Amino acid sequence: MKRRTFLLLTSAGAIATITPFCNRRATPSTPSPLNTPDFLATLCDSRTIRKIGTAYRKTTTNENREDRLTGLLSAGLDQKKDTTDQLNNEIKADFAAGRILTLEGWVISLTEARQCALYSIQLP
Amino acid sequence: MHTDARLLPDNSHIEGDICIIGTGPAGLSIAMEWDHTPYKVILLEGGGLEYDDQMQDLYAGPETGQRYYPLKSTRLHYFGGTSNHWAGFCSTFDPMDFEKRDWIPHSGWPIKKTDLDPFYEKAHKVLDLGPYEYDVKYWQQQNPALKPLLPEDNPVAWNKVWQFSPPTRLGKKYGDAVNRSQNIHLYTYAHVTQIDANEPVNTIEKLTVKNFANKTHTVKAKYYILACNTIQNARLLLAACPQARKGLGNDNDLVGRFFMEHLEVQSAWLHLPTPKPLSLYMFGGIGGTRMRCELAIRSDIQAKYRMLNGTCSFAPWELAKGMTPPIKMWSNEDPRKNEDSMKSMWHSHEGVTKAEGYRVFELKTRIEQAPNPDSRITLASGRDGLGMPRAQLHWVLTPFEKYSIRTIYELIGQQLGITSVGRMELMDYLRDPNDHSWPDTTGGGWHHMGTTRMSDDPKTGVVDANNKLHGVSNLYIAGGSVFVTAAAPNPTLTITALSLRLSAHLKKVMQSHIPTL
Repeated sequence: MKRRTFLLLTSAGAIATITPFCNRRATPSTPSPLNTPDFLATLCDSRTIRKIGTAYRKTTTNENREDRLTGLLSAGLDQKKDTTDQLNNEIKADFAAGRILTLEGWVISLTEARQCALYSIQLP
Repeated sequence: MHTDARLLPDNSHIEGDICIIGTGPAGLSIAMEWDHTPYKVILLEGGGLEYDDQMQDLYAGPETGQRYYPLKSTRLHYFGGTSNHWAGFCSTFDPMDFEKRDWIPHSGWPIKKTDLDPFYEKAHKVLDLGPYEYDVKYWQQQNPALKPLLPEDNPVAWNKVWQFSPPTRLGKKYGDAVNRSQNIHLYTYAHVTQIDANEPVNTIEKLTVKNFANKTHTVKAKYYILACNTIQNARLLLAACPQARKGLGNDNDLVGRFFMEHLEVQSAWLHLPTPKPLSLYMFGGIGGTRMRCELAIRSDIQAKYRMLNGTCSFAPWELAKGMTPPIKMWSNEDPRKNEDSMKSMWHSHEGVTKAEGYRVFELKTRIEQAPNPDSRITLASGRDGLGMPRAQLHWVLTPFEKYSIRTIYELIGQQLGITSVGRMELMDYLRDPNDHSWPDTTGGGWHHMGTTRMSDDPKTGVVDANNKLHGVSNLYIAGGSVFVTAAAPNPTLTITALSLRLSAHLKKVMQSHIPTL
């Protein structure tokens, strides 16, 4: 339900609301667990996600590539487990370990920042 | 009893055992401690029983530095002082506020929180507050619906309790008692313009008071307590003693320095995934006591991040958005007009709070200003209507305050992430850590502190731990001017507690001379 709320606000929302996107395979042009920060997306709209992502790519130029971000976000993920759950755990671990950034004013985790960055590339 | 000094014959001589200058929370709370004692207490009020614009104008003065409210409008010059328009916010200082913090230059009081606790409790009665309970658990036992935003054992943030006075207007509360008193003699329109000391300037001999009825009187007492506001205490010491060319108690060039305010600025938004009422942080009442919490940073975390002490309060964004910041609203010289504007704005933003709560809250910081000798009160070149040099304010903020505000929200933001409670969004002006500018919304809480700071060492303070002016045997100072650091809470409760402590000390001193108490 939370994700659906966010997806309504995205450009791909009309399609995505038919089927929860977490069950679909990610493609470069639709929201996916990898490019969508699950919790953050319940708090702000897609425009904000893009702005945060763009800000991250500007400040972290060595990650300003889709394949690089995808690789970093996918690293260590267990294919047999739910991707969103695993990323959410990673986000909590980021906060606990102080892997935190302030982007566009939002105090977020490194994983969330990368998800936003990927979103801003895949859904510009 | 009460006498209007305008009606006395010119050049009247007034004598008593103790003379208290000022009838705000400091002066009146001390005076009432001496009711029904064998001592004659002279209580001097520069203004009258009601607002008088001619008297109020004596508080006007030029300003430089950080933008501030018009000086004429920030304190009230009549019986009851600024308690006549205070909002009633009260909380105690934290133990660490009194300690020397090596990351905050000029911090460290010569007293501890435990020295003040008995007087805080007593001050609660003066200000009509509830029980002397500042542990959030006590209040949650009264109302289990008061849920914290973060778990109670959160290692970074804690819930600091505030209580709210009705707010007590001390002039109204104690006016009748003063009138009836046999030993407290209130003189209104008795504005002190001169403090005469003996030649070595170690004893005060008499005061001169004036008014606009062209009456000049003298006042003599064994002990004097200067209990005006922070700006006027400094102004009197700097300007009123002809025998002290550098200013009374100012041999070390400290009087007027270290002017402090509480920064009160909107700072961030809290975003929650589902609506919450956050009742613990809203104005609420329990058993006749109005209370709420603000989120504060634990002392060990403050030490770790070398930051100032501050708290954040919560307001539903739906209700708070569009409110004009006080620094823009409180711009008139006339305090009554400012108060009307503020009330009008508050009423226009009032709404019935939703029982289910809100998803977005505006967070406002209330934070101490670092003690700074360059932030100061000096004497202006112009003079007021009674011939005294006007006070001039030069208010200075530093990047330290801004760093501390930003750190508060980054730290709470981190805890929101760890607990998956929500996320923090900083306001524009806090986003760039290299930007040391202040937005035009930056204002203070109308809290003036620090111009006659307390220290055991005359080289670092103007008064000693008992509020006695260093080097002068019979002059004490009460009020926010003696604060060494400002802490986060509004100052009235601490001003009152310190004043009651001073009064208890002076009773012991008097008893040693005249054992009748």
